[in-house]
Amino acid sequence: MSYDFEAMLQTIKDKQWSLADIDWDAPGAETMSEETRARMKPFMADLVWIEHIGARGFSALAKKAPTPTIRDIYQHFHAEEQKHANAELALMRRWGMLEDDRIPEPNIQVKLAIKVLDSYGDSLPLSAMAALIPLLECALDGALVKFLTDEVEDPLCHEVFRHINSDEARHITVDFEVLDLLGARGWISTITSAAEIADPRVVVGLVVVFVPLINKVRDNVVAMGLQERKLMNAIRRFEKIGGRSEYTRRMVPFQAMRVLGSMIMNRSHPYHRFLADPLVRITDHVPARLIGKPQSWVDGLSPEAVA
Amino acid sequence: MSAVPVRPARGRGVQREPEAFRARLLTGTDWFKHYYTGERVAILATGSEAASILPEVLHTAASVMVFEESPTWVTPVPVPLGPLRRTVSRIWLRASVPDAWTRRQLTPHKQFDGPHVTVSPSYYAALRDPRARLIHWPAYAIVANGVRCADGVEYQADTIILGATSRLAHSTLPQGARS
Repeated sequence: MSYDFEAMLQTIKDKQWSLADIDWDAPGAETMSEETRARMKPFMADLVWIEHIGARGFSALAKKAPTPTIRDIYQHFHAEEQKHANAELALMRRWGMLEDDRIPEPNIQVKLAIKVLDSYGDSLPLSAMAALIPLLECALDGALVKFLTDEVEDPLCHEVFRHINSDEARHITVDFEVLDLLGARGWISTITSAAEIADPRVVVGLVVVFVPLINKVRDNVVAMGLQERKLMNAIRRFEKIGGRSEYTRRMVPFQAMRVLGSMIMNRSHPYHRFLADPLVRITDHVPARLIGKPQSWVDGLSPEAVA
Repeated sequence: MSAVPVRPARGRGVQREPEAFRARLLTGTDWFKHYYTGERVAILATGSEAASILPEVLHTAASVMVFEESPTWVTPVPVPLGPLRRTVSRIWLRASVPDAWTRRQLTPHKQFDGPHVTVSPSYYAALRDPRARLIHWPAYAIVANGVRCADGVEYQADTIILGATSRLAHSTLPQGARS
């Protein structure tokens, strides 16, 4: 029995929420101590940018979706990721983390990721993108967001992340159903999708850009006090949900992401010493001027509920 | 075509009374009979409809937001040869819209958007006007003050023009919507 994407699309439309539904001036902001604020500020800025990059990823998926319904779903997910980024910005403003309402400047790894998405985003193979995004979502949803809600007492923060988590749960469901659908296309498609990830654009995109980006964020949150066990659980979740489907299991991009995920989690793996850490150090020295001007989607962020 | 319900603002965080609908709502071809002096206008329509509505409305409106539902190919003049149309419209798009991201929003999907080509010499020029804004987020509700999109933002407007082929066209409209 194939999955009912049509019903999922209707659910997504019915469950929409808006920044205007939330009272951003509700009491509770004072529970944020000066120390937590300083500690959380770079974390929140990273979170906002990762959501924003995730949004762009869904937009790339929408261009390649196998059916019009899935395309419609991805267009909604694109908007929802943007909404999450906007909501997190609104939280930052509430906690006084934005100077003069300016959007936080992305770090160099984020800028490189934006550059890769601008250049290759729409030509990356569907199966690679469709496997990468659920991995990021599982890590984000299962570890980073949980960490934030554990650290912050503000009741409004918990309310906002209840909304965000219910959206993310639907994103993850659809991500894996699409992987299942792609895997079910048969052996020829399985082999071509395996060949596709050897595409130099995928290799450059993943290795040179996403490896340092993910590693930097990973080390930042672990340094802030996130237990590595939680990250491990998030990746296990990715393995477990994907492993339930026979078709997903035989997809090479899924298996590649599974291996990548477990390497990222295990700090003693040679992956870190020989690949990720040197790449973080190298990318740290890339001058921002070299990357050039990003496309205008980068300016789409705003903490305002009305426009 | 699935009908999307137009719902009043749901105050999940704060309990609020349902507000009276304040914008003017125009459906079908009603937009043609009005002036929009000083108004903020929202157009919810498919690409081919928006291509004919936007340039007209922008003559008088203070600002226009276009919620384009499915983009369409546009040529400035009628092109007689079928296969040539797509090429002409591709070149026309590249020449008239300098921003790559906007161009991406205006490019129809190979399979899922209709192959239809619309003739409009002024659509792209109108979109480049600083008073016009192209919004590609899917709209999910018409509320008291405007349109809510899936990106969580409420886009406020004084007049909402609902195209005849819009996804929201067959939904029940909010209480007190003037036509």
